[in-house]
Amino acid sequence: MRLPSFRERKGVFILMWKYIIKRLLWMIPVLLGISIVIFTIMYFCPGDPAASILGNSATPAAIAEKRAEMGLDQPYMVRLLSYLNQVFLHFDLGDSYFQNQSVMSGILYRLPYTATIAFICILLQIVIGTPLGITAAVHQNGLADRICMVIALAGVSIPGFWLAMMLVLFFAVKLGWLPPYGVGGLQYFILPCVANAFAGIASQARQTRSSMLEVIRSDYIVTARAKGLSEREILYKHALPNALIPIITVVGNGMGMMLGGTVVIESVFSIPGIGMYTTSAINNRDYPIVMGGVLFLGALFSLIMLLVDVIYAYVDPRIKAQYEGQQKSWRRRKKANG
Amino acid sequence: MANSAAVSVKVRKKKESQFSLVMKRLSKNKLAMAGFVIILILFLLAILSSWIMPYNYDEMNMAERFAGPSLKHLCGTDEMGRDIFSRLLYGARASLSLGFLATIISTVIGMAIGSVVGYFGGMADTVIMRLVDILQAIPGILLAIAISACLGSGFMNTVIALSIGGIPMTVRLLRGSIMGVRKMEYLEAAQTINCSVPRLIIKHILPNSISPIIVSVTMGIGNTILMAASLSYIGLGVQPPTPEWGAMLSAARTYMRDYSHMVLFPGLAIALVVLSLNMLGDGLRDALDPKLKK
Amino acid sequence: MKKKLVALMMVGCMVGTLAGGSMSVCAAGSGKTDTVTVGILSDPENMGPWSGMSQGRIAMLFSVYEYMITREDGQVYGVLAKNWEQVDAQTYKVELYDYIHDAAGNPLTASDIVFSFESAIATKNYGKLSVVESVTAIDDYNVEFKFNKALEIGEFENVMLECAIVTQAAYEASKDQMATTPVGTSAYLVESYVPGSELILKDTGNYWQTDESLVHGTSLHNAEEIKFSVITEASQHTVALQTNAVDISNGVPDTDVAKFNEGGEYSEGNAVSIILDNLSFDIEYNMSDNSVFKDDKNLRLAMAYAIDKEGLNIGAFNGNGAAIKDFGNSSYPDYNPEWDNEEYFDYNVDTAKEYLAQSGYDGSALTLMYTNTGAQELLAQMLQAYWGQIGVNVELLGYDQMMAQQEQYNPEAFDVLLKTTGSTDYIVNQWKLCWDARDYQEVTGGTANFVQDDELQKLMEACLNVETYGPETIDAVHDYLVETCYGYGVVQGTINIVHSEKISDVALDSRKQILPGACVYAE
Repeated sequence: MRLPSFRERKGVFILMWKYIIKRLLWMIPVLLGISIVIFTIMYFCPGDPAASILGNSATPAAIAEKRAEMGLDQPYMVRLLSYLNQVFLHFDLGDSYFQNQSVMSGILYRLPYTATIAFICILLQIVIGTPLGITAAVHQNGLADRICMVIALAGVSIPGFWLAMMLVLFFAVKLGWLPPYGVGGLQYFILPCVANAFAGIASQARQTRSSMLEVIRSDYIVTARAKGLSEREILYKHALPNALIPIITVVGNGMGMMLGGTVVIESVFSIPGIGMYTTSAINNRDYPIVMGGVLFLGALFSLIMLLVDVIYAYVDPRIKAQYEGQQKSWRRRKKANG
Repeated sequence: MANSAAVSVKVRKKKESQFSLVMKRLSKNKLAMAGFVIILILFLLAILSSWIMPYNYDEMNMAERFAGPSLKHLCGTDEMGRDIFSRLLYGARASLSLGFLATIISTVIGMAIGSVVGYFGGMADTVIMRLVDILQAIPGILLAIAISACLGSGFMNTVIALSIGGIPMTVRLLRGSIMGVRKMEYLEAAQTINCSVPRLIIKHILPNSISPIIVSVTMGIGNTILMAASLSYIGLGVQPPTPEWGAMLSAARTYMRDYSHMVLFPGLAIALVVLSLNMLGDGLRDALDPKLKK
Repeated sequence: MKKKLVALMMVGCMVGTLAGGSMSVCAAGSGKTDTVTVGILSDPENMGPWSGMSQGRIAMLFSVYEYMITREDGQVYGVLAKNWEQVDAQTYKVELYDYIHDAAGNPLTASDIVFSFESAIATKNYGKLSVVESVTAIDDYNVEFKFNKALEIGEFENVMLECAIVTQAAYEASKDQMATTPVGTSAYLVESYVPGSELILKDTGNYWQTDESLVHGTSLHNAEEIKFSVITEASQHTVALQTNAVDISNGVPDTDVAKFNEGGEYSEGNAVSIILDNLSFDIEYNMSDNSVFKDDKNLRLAMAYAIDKEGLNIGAFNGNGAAIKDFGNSSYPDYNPEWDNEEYFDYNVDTAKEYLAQSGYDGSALTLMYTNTGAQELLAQMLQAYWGQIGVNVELLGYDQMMAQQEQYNPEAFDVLLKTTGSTDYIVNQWKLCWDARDYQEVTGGTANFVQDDELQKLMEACLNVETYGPETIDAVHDYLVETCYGYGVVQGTINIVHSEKISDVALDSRKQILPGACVYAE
């Protein structure tokens, strides 16, 4: 594995920036696509925000009048186009039907809570999950492997809300160390994060073990061993970097899942995060919040995935080579296929 | 023509021997076999549940609400005096088929897209990956909740809601690995002997990229069952009184402080399935690994 | 039984408190507190005076806003309104107190009433206000309401109770239409609000109504500071009370309530008030043309007799609710207590089977539609089992609230509907939520459940008409509904209020929400 020369590296650097800019531009159609998908899902969602606003005892006539006022009686294309126009040409996610507040300010208010949880969880996942996986892979089929995997399997098998409630009963009720719910200082985040990170740690450990095993068995590690390099050197200098790709994928996906997917944890701990914000909006049929929330999370997620792909390219020389050699290889393959 | 026919015969022969090799290796792995046997038994119990459950799964008995485990009720009873053991047996149908169906649907679709995209690169990659990006950028649980709210609860609707969110993950995983292997020498070798593209993907690229997929499928089935529990927690998901395990677990959560058996047994059932699938998956991964052949 | 007694005593005591007159006795002790924390299940989201209804919002409405009048235990009292009189069939005149000012100090006059009503009507958020033709200020303290029809029973009061009143000055001074900074005429102002988490109200010490004999339950301010704590998970309400993080909550799950009772695990320092809810759980048959029930009264009766209502009560409410004897329940002032002794589809499997044998039921599966929230989910499963017992095969169709609300007017969507209905005033207005065809015929062609019955409509209109409203017309509707069995009530739920001993008397508003300002506090 030859290291690229300085000139080559500079070339890669420029190519990378081109790639990033291209990807950022590509995000526009992606966001358009997200808007259309979620708008369509909500459009076909049975249930009526007008009825929800008016409450249970409203008569059909009153509901119909409210619908007309909200513009909900317009046809699909009209509503879709006016929404897209509002979002993409006026950069306005609209106002909530129920809360007298713009969707953007609602999201920005709730983002810190969700982001704090997501960040701490991903950190825990990497810091605990990766070493567990590496340990398991190195001692494949040994005792350490078994122990690590039992921990990982337990994490995968426990439903999040069950664990969360158990933690509350023990640490908040029995010991009284931590607050059982709500938001405030850092201590309020400990239980939600632990409850939420468990599954992530587990899948991180499993994925790490799996890709490490694959790499450890590959030819060049065997060669490295034959060359007499120390095990530690082999592990961290050669095996780990090559095993990183699937591991990074898991981290990226985990981040995406955390951002919108902490609904259950937010609900158990009464944390006003984006997940709860969007989910209760789905229940209320507060379309602007649902669409705005998903679009915002989508944009955030796209940025994270871009970051993941850039990191891919950095850690995997094989992929990096593709940025340079794409054209060449195409021609070659075409020729080979006849 | 004659030449390529000869190649294909050769390849098939090789594949058969590879299959038996995999099975041989798998059967040596005790943990994997244990997982396999447990899954088989659970499937069998699910199929036979109508005949072997001691009570009807929705038979109420208000006089025996919240009864703890006993000989009469092996896993106790729930808030309506229904026998939890019978419900678990019958519920295995719903839970297992929910987990398997949703995961397999999303994996098959994801693999088809991922392998094509990963192999061809270029425009196909760019366009399809943007479509995948759109789907993936919508957080999975929110997508499932939105689709569930849209379709309504019910078994097939829940399967659909849970499977769509899984597709992008598989696509990305497979695409990532294929991009990793596609420059390897043996592929170029296959190309030079004029191997057709679909065959190239199925015979050469997939086996070399499949291990992360297998790991993700085994985890995916369990995750799906757990996600179904989350949907139930929010009030969507499979209909009662169908005793889907996740729904049972979620419905029992208000009682967990006093009647822990109500959450313990559905939780154990889920854990058992996930554990077995994982043991089997690990074994399969090792057995399928082409790099282990030597 | 003992628990019931406690509950009844609590209710009695509460009523005493709310009646206002007896307040002075309690206030003589202290009855007040510096701070009280209330656990609520969802965020108020938008506290603006005229925004859409939500579960979190109704918890704080009465603490921040006052209305023209208030209703306590079936009695109506003026709050902002000093007097009101009917001028003619469609016109009412209301006189205001002449010394009202809001929590920010702005004086409130007739023009603010006009402003409030006109703004509320413009939002189209309030169906009950659709009868208002115009609101005009006659002078500074007199307002004239013109309606577009002759009002029926309770309708004028409901209009007065529907619209929160604010001053135009305060409303226009607010940057967000009072969504987070509401200023009403009550004693409280928002001190701080963390959306989705916590709302703190503080007594301004400058409440406008200084004559204590005129301060009714909804306007009392016994707590210096009210803290609403949003706790979205029900079982966390148990934890919160147990750890003394909140003083009072109505969100504790039924099964945990017993633990706070005397002798229970967490009874130390805590007490329970179990109050019957004004909501009833009702069965409505789909009476549309293609429905199996349309011409098959025997099937309707068979299924009615197959339900053990007391069993539903035990299963869903731990026996703390009540089996009910009418489409509504006994919490309304115009409920006829004699109905309690009458036969009302009392559980009898043999009778049910006899009716079934005479019916044209062919064994096909019927669909029971319900809203998949806790109690309805349990009830639906139990109903399915009861009906299964006599051989009627029922499939469950659970929808979220939105979907159920929409599908209930679709004759193809279901055969039987389990619905929760309730009114804050009279039983006839609870009946109106299903049986008054005038409200539904545009979409259903008849009543809410597609009944086309002129006789029923005549009886309904008679009991809703102010002129003819009375025991006779009320009895007539009840008897007719029993006779035809188009639908019936099965069970009444409970509101479980768990509170610390710091609170000696719990006060609730007409929607059965906790009124923290009106609770009486022990020292």
